[in-house]
Amino acid sequence: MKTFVINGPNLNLLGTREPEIYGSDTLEDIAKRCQKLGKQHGIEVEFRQSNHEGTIVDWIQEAINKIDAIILNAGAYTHTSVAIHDALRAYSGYKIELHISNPHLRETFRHISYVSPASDAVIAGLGVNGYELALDILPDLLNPRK
Amino acid sequence: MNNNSILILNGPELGDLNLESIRACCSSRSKQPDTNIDLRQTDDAEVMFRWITKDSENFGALIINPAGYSGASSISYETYCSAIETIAHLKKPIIEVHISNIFHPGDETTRPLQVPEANIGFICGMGVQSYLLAISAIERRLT
Repeated sequence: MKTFVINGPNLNLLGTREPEIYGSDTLEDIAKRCQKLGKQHGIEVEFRQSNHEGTIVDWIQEAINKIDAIILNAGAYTHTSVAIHDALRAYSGYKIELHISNPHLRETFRHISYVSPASDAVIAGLGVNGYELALDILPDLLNPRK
Repeated sequence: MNNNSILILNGPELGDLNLESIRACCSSRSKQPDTNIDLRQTDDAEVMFRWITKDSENFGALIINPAGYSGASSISYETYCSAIETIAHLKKPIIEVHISNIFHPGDETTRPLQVPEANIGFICGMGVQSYLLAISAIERRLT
């Protein structure tokens, strides 16, 4: 099983940018924990970050027919990007939208998500733990036990 | 007060899943043997308000599925928001869960709870697994 964990704009600043909202862990810390957890679950985790909308679109397209799942924290592009929405619609694997904080408790301009309607599931407001929690549950979501 | 206890509240119209299937799933999969789960469902706004504002004091955390506040439901969106606002100062973990992805086309009325001063986690779209993920998230914070 292979999954992309894709991070959008400003997530490279994690740990230094508004730590009261986003916590003090860096994206590298999270990436390392995800790789470790992936190994335990037999999931190959490719962890990426870009500040560029087109790069994120390219990565989603790269996943088509090759990658089983995408965990996407699109950052602020969540609220603006029809291009990311369209790319997700073209990808038929399992899609989890992830946010460290809960956008619906913040400014109204964060209440609209173009990622949510194109995703299978949404996780928000669970802090940086959300990444590991998503990886933990992913095998069950892809192979539901009846 | 048992800090390892979780109150799970469900509003009306749970859809395909009934309370028993959620109960079976939650009790079989809770990782921490000492986590106490109290799963409840009501169609009554007053009962829901009392559970959130009074009964939740006796629990370490709250998981809430505000199902069916749209449509003909007897429990309004405002009831959920104001009840949670009442307990937000307690700083206990609160997670909103939905079985389906409420942002998919066709569900135009269900929207996430908005309680500005509260810290509410949000999970939707994973079926009954939404509850299991919420329980895992809380167990990480409580232990």
